[in-house]
Amino acid sequence: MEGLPEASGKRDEQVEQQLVLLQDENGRLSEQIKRLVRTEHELYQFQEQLDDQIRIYRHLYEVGKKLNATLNLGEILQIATQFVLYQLGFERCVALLYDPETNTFYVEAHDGYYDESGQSLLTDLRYSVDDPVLALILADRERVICPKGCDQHELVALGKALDMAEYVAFPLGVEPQPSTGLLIAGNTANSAAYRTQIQADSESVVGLANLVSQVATAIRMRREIQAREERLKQQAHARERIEQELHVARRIQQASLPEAVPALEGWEIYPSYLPAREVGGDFYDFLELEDGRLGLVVGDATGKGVPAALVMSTTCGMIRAVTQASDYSPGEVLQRVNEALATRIPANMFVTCFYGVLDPGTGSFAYANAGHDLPYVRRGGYAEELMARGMPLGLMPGMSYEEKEIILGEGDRALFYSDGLVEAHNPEGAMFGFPRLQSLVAEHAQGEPLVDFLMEELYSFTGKRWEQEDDITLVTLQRVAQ
Amino acid sequence: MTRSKGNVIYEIDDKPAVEVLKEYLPEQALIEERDWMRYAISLALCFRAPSYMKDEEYVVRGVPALRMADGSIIVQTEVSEGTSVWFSSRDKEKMITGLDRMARQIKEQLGGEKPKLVFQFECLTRGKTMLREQEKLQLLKRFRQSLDPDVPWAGFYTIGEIGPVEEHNGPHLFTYVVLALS
Repeated sequence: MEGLPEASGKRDEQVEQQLVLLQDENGRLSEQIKRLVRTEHELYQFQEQLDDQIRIYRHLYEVGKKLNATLNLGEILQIATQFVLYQLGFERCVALLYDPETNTFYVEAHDGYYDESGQSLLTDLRYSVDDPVLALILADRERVICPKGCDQHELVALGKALDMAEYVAFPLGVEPQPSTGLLIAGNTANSAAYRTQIQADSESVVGLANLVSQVATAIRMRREIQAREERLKQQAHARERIEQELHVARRIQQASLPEAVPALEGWEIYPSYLPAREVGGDFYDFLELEDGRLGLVVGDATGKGVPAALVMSTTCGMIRAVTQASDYSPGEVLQRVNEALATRIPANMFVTCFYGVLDPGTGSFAYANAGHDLPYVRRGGYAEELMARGMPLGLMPGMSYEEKEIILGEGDRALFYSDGLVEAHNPEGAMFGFPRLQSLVAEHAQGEPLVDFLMEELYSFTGKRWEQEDDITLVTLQRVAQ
Repeated sequence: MTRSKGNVIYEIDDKPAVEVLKEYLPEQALIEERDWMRYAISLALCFRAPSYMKDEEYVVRGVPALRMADGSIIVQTEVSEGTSVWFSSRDKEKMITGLDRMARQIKEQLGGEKPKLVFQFECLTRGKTMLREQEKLQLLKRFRQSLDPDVPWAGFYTIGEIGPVEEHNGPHLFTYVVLALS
């Protein structure tokens, strides 16, 4: 019995020891459970981040497709603001765009609930490009975060204007392009706890950066396409204006050319005039002079379009006036026309002109040349040049013009032409040229008219895709063989 | 709970209640009060179930808010000082087991008949706020397949469920109610 209390005490001690052991074990297990719960939370957070990443990038892909499908600025910004609110979970989103005309940023779009007065204040917002409120954001090419309790007055001032207690602002545009606007996402003070938190490296802010890049590209593309369309429109207007001018030039030129070919017994006169698309300054004329003589003019005013047409028309008129005023020789005619023209013609323009007077009875052909391409006369199987010296009309006053005379015998044929023929190019860039023309004139004895023969040769030389660069004028004068 | 008043628990094991919560959260997880929102669904409190709940050992009560200033936490119902409290974390395995049990019970009640229509009323806290979206969809798919994958299925999410257990009405949390019609 004496041992019993001792045994009991020993058992109590053992129980105490076991209790301590169990409590220790309980504590260790409790700590392990806490650690497991903590780890599980961390794992879930990590998985949630991954899920968020996948979700955001899927939606960004869809957003990209939508942005590519529109050039409408309102739609682009609506897509962006809806993504910010409904996919990224921010409470509000405001897009400010730069107006180059006023050098200001204005609110182009906003989403997230604003009451009527808030909306009115928001849409009236305008910030000068150098406003200190935007300075920090525009200086940072990536993004600026204004957290709750931020101590930077300028950022807080912008937050107040947009009614956001915290926000992240992205410039729209990638260096070296200037910023075309700003996209700002944020939360009010009351809702911040229930909305996406604004943290520098969070998935939402990274997703927002991706969105901003896409939106900036879409806006830039839209502006470039608009600018291109505007340029095309202006070019179309310019083309239309040119076409109108060309039409006017063509009418002036046509009006200056003779309507009929004079009929001379024993002579054949065959004119051909082929205007280029851009009307040049070619002209020819037949002047019925005293004693049955015939004046023949072939010329070319420099330039194209209306200026060339006006100069050629003026020259034609002057020659006609001078020849009708008195019985001047060809050289005198050119000299007088040159005097009149030299003071009136624009400084960078001049006129080449060949003028000859035919006495149909004798076959005498007196002529002078103001720098025009030399006519050819075919006689006896050879083509001779009708050479006479003289400066083009309108270059400088006080010029005199050499006069020559030949007798055109039976069967002789003269060709007067403009540089549009000899300066025509083939696809290899070679010119039709004077030697070719001269030999063709020499070899063509009879059959189809020389003018048609030469045009066929020209087409064969230049090929089918030839685009006529200049007017082509051909006039033949032939004394018919009896 | 060593100090509480109404539905506010100030201390657990003589330590500020918030500090005890922190022991179950990752480091630096709880700096501001709003940080708690991230964990409010996945970490809850358990109290011993009343005796009339024969199948349940605990009832779950959420912590909708806490106060960093005095370290207190707020629960949805009034609590008495001295009451024992446990922490409860999400347990996907238990959710699977529970759904399997429900499917088995429904089949037993239908007595071999196929359901013609199933209504589902599920607390929104069981959704992606507790589990990941994919996990939640997997659970639903598993449950539907175990009942009948082809039966029309309709329902809605609920919040703040109140319902009777053994003729005792009371609030429930994280509840999943299924009504199968045959």
